[in-house]
Amino acid sequence: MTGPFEELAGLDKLIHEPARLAITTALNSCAEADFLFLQRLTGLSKGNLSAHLSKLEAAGIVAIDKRFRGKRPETWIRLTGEGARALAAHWERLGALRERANTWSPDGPPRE
Amino acid sequence: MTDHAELARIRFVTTHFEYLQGLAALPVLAWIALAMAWASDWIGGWLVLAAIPPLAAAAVAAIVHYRRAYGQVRPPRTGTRDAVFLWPVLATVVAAAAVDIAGLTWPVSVEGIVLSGAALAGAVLVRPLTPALLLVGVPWLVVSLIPLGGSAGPHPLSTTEVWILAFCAGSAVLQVWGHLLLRRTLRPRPARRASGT
Repeated sequence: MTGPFEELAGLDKLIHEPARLAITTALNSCAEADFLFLQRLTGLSKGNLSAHLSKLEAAGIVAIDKRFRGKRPETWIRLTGEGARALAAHWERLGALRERANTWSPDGPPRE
Repeated sequence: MTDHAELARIRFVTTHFEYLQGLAALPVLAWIALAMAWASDWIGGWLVLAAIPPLAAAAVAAIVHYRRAYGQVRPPRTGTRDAVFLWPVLATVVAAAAVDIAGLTWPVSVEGIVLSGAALAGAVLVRPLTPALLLVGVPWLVVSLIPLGGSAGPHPLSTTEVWILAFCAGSAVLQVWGHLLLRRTLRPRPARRASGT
């Protein structure tokens, strides 16, 4: 049986990174959001946000849709079904980890 | 940045993004308040009509400002979200109708008590809006319970125009709080370095 600290290594690092966790958490709360909203939410520069989104898109966590509103280009991002499942699993793992860390004792079996 | 409270705020702001654009709703509330003031014969009808163009322009300007400053969010595909905001109004209308049909005149305002009850319940249930809902609910409750119309009633807050005015005032406080919450969550920050990209 592994301790809570060994389990930390098993967390999904793609989602757990703070900016990406903020992005996926926000996208899980809406149908879709545009690039500007996510930029304001995370405080990332355009380039850095693009890099994070590209990583998430490559992993199938988010889908990016570029469209035009009149002559203005808009970039909309949404969480995919796979992304929603991965995020739910991540939160579940974090919850379990928190629970185990609260009851963990360095000398012996978990505290009751 | 992404501690538990911050993530909870991100969830709330994203889910209720359009409701937190308070500056866009304020002109509408102001117009309803003017209409109620006219219905109570406090102001002339021309003022209600004259206020439409500037208030409409202010609402459109606010919507454009929010879109340019904070971007856009399409709400989650659930129908239950809007109902939360309709229940207090519906409950107050039912209470007002029931009191009216029964021909009751009480020294306290049933309408005010229902509205303040909804605000105080909201303060417990919707944590990000708790300060604003307390700021609205507590004065409503105090005013509703003081027999301002004398011991035989009726209470002034039981008049339809007056409780709608009170509702507009409370909603305005809530809208300003929503705007501040949006600003705080989506405030411009120095560009963060990308970690883990």
